[in-house]
Amino acid sequence: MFSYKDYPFDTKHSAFEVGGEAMIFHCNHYLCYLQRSILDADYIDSRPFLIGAAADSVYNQLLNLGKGKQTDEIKKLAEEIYKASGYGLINLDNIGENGGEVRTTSSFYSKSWLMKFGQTKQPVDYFTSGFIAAAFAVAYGLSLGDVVAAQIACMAIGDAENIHTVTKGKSNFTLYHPKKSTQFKEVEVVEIPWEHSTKVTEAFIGAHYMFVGNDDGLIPAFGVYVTRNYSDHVNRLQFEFISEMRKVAGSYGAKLGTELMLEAGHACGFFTYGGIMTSVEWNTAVKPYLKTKEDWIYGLLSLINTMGWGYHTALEVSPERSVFRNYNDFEDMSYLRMHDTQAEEPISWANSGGFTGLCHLIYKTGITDGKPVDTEEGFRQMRRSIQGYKTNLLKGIANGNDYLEVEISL
Amino acid sequence: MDGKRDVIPLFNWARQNGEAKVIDRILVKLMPEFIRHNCQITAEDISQKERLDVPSSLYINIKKSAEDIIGTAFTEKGDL
Repeated sequence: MFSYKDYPFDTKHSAFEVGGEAMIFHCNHYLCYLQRSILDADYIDSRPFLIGAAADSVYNQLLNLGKGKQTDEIKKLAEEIYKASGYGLINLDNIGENGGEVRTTSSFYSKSWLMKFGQTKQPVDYFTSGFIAAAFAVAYGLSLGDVVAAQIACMAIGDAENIHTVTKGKSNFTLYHPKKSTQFKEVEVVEIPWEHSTKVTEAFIGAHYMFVGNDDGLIPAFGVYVTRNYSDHVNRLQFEFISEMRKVAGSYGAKLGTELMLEAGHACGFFTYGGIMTSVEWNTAVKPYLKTKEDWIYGLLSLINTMGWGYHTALEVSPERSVFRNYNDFEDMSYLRMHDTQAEEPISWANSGGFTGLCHLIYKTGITDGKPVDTEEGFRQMRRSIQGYKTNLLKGIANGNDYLEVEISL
Repeated sequence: MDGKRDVIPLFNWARQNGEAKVIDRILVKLMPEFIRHNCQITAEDISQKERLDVPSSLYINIKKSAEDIIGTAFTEKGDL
């Protein structure tokens, strides 16, 4: 039986790898916003990389974890990982050596899309198409280049269930070169300037293991649905999108795309961090130490350093201007694994948008006074009505620095 | 001939009724068209302008895109 508990958490770097793949949490808000932003640019043929990015990560992991296992054992392992990670439920019994069909009524992506955006016009669970393609390939000893994957029904467009198919043939999704292993930047860390930081961090070490899929294969937590994602899958979607936008319109395209990537991170930070700050666990283990709004920020950073997103800290925090750092942040680590050349500018949009969401939450809502804004419409109304924070990515590892550094200012 | 229309009232309406980055979404959705009309503008640029005249054909597409995103129809004086 697959269990994430069998894999050690790297507390030094706040990182978690399973079968050679870095794993990170994201929420339904982030993942849906990210995917919708990509699909908005319908002049880009994004379907191949939406499936291919997922297939690549899952394939690498299953190849590692499935060594020495038989076909049925690998399919079982894939089903268990899928469920444990919060993506829903899949049954691969109908997949044979020539492919087959997978039907499910439990899909994180389809359910989340309906909840956040309502019904849409095209299937949205590209991730699961890629996941099944990878499971089929590993189980039957194929390369991803020999697999064709499609989603032919989706609950997000009104179908009763999701249906995915895989067959043998020349692949219809993007294939990627092998990645490098993770290269952490070993530099002296500026710790969180808060006397209770270590206590809070220690209280939550290991807590991430509790986030496993329920009977429906979903992980409701902190008022959102979370999934344990393949970091390189999600980050590759960002890199591919910005790269394609750049191809269409140069720096103008990249700039427009980047704004939406930052907003995805902002929504994630706002809803997920907001959920954490209204949870029983927060009220029990963190709130007793909080006196100022700045303490709330330090408390949150101390807690999330146990989640595998890198080591977060702050150099300066105030309602007008804050400067945050993340050492070995998950986006930069992904970039280094995938690329041989340095980026021209920082690429950690999700992390940076998350910092903006955090400032927004602390300084522009009543959350510290017990009056959170936690609904989609509440979020929209507030974002329309107040002066917003600007996000300035000062430094990134991908473009040659030792850490991610982000300024959030009015 | 493609006349010009001021698109700022439309963008203001979108900002007041749509989600936080609604202008950015419209710009991304219509990016090739903006480029075709040599109008490489950002949401920040738009927020600083009191008037922005764009070709009528582009205006119609911005209006359609904004209405699709927001889910209601935009009307203004003289818009009919």
